[in-house]
Amino acid sequence: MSGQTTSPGPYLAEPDLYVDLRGRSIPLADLDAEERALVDDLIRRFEAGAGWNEFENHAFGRIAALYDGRGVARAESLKTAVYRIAQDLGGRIGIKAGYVRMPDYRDELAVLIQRQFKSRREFCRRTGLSEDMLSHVLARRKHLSMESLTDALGRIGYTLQITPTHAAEAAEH
Amino acid sequence: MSPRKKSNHVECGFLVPIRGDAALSDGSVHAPEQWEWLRAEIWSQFGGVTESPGLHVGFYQDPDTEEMVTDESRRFTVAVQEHEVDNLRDLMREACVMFCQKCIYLSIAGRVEFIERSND
Repeated sequence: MSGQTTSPGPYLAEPDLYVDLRGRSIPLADLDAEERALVDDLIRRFEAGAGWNEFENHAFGRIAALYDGRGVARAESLKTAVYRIAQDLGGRIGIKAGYVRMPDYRDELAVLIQRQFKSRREFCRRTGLSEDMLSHVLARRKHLSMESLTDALGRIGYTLQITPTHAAEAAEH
Repeated sequence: MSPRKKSNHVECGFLVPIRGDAALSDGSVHAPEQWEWLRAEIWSQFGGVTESPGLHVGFYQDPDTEEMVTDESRRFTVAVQEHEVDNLRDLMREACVMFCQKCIYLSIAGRVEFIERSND
């Protein structure tokens, strides 16, 4: 789980290293020629100012064709670097247009609950958080204290992580 | 796909407002996480989706406040096998929670349903 960042940084830290909105690195050196060509195509379209929905229609259609053609299961293809880069570029287009905001820990928390727990009630039972508090947090009306969040996450086997932003990286150089 | 080949898919379309309901959230636009979650679910469960260009502007009467609400939504079209339509309804119920909506507009072969969030 990463901390909040305030604006999207550059996505290519190095020619062979993509860095997503949350500061996670995606190496490009391991991609094969088809995958790399597709990533380059997506970056070109992003830089050319493609619309949000048009970009995603194109990107995920190409990704489906590539990996379905190789017999890769959908559950696996969405873990690939190409898929992750496409969704990150899509998010950047949405942010630039003002249709999407920069994420914070509450968004990651919402997805974690949706994917890993039967319900919010179940999540609260396991973490010790009150349902009322969680409701306010996920509605973006309140924040959890660092102590409460760390304690709750620890009970379900998760932890907070401090991730460098591009602004921090740029300041180092 | 051959144009003569019969399909047991039905065309389903749904609208997801780009902002959370003001009564259920702070009314801000969503983060990438919410859209990524939706895409991953569709990717895995239904294979493909088409996003209509631009945003769809509409209005409705809020059943709780009886006030007119204007919103902007993304429209998604999915071809779903008839026996999997209930799975899409389930996904829309989850989407209500994820996107902080009281209900989501779902069109199944032209028939409209308003899918409400489940209480948990």
